[in-house]
Amino acid sequence: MSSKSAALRFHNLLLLIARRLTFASGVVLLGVVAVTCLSILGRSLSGFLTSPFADTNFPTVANTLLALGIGPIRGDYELVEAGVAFCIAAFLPYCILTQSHAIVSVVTERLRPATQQALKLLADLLLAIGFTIIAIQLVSGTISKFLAGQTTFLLELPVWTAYALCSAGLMTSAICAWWLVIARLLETFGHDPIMADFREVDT
Amino acid sequence: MSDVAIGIAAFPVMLALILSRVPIGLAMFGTGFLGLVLITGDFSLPLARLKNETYTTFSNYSLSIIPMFLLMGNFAAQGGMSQALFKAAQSWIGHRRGGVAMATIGACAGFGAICGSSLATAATMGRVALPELKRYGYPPGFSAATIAAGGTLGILIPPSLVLVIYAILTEQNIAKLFVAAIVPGLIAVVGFTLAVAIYVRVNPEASGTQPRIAYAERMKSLAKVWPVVTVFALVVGGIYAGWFTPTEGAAVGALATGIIAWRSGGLDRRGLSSCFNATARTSAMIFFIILGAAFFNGFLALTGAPQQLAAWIELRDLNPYLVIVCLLIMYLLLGCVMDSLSMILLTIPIFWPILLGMDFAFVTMAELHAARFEDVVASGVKIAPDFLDQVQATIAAGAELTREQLRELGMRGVNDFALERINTERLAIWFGIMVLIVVEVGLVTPPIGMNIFIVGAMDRTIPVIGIYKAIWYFVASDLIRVVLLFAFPVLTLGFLSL
Repeated sequence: MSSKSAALRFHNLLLLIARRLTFASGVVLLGVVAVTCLSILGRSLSGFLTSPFADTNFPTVANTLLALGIGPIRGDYELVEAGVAFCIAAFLPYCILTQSHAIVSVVTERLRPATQQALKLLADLLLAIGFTIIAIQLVSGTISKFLAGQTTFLLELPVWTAYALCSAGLMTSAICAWWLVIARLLETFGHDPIMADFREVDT
Repeated sequence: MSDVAIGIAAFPVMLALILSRVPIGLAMFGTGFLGLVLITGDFSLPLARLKNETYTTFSNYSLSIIPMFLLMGNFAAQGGMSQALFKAAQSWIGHRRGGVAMATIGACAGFGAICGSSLATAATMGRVALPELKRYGYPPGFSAATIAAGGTLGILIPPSLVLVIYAILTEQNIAKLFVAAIVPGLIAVVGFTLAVAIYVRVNPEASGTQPRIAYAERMKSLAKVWPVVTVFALVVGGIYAGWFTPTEGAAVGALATGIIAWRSGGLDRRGLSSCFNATARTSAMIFFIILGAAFFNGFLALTGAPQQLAAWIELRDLNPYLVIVCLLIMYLLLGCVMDSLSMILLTIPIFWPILLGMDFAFVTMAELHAARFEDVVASGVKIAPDFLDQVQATIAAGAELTREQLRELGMRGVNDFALERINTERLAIWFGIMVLIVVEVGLVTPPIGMNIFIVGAMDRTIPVIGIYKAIWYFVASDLIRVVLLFAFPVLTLGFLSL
């Protein structure tokens, strides 16, 4: 194809954004892994330093290290929870654009192509509506958390920020879901294929 | 329409949506959402729930194990461990009849020990084993079937994502479920190996062998799989020993396989990106299904339909073992239209209360008394000799101790409540492992058979019909294993002490 259609270019742009978002949240996930592992390490170290063995053999060293703050990371669970929530929300656009949601196509693939296309369109439309409702309600939840000024238990981080990060992911997801509806409509009415079948490309 | 009727009617609606290609998570979510609207009369309740439920589901600490286990498996795939495992298994048994296929099963089992997902195991091992099987002249259909079946070991051998979800739904200890799956997992390896042996005897032309390899060489190949053994021992052992929570264990596993992948040079930007992408797609898919299932089950609980069903079954006074058989058969059938995780998420909240209402006597009160009595004796407490004789006689007769005897021995907390807790835990573990196996059968049988699709997609020249013809050997092995586990609960529960 010499010149890509506007629709294809837009699709690729969305895909690029989704991929970047996925990479960024992958890094966040790595951060979550690191925080968890460091916390385990700190916990075992502090357990060792407070043990009778350390207390009899090298009390000064042990106490100095403990005073320096060796121990489990404070609020590690909270960081894990907020981090993973963001990751999942930010993973969703990529999942939607690559049509990776679990589906059952045994029955439909025996139908006529036109019927199949109509059902796909219907499913896409339902998905877009579903994600729109979810995204809007999450934004509304974010606002309530903001107004309530709720903070997390240990770190006292404002809960609304975690909600807001999640909302961003879900709003992007909703946009992607609506784009799929449009792309499907374009394809139905004779546009060149826009959505490559990712199920077959990268497994 | 009564609430219960709405609850019952929701099932066909949801199934119809799923069968018309609506994403499973969305079908559950939509049915649950509209169901809530129907029974409460307006949109306010479901909408209000959604304000927080998305975030609380995504941020659930127990569930955060999912992306980390997925990342761990993807790192493992990137780290070339599948190659090392296959080479090692091949060097030990490759020269036997059907040996290369058996090596595939062995390597899948090894990979399953560091990967909690069936599809990832099938995909990763397929890349390594498929060309080798072809080289040694195995029929393509049989080769693909071997890998597809071997892939199911990924989820049976701990760590296992489906088992994690099951544990959360039934509020059981993940570590115990993991350990309980080890013996059934080993039986599966033996069973699949036997299936290969039988296949190559029925189809003698199917078995290519490789030359025998010297023991020095074999030892060398074995040495290369030590990271797999270490990671498995660290993660599963660490969780079981209580060094860390299951979620922390997943993080440790992800770090360990990440380091291995990085050292093997597989984690350049592209490799990292492909790990993230695979993790992203599966995690997002799973969490969307979890969100949908939570909505559907929340709606269902509100209709009272599950409680009615449980009460109805309890009234019938059915044989509990018969109920288990019926449920397992139902999972086999449901496996034809649904993936394993969706099935578990959808059905366990309904079936588990039913099973809880039934009487499964894995342990009797007399056995519990006997075990606790041994603890008392072992603790070295002084007991009057004639009283000791009296108690021992009671226990030898297989009877429960009397109230006076219990008081005299200072055995506290040995009551009906404790017994019920023990029996519930055993039931959950025993049933869970069997469910795990039957839902996996759906992954390798028509019409969906995701594992078969995955392997089939790697080499389009493999006739799907050929895969289905060969897969029955493995499915038969699966079914025999379920019967074994059903008949001998000790195979799953043997490691538990009283």
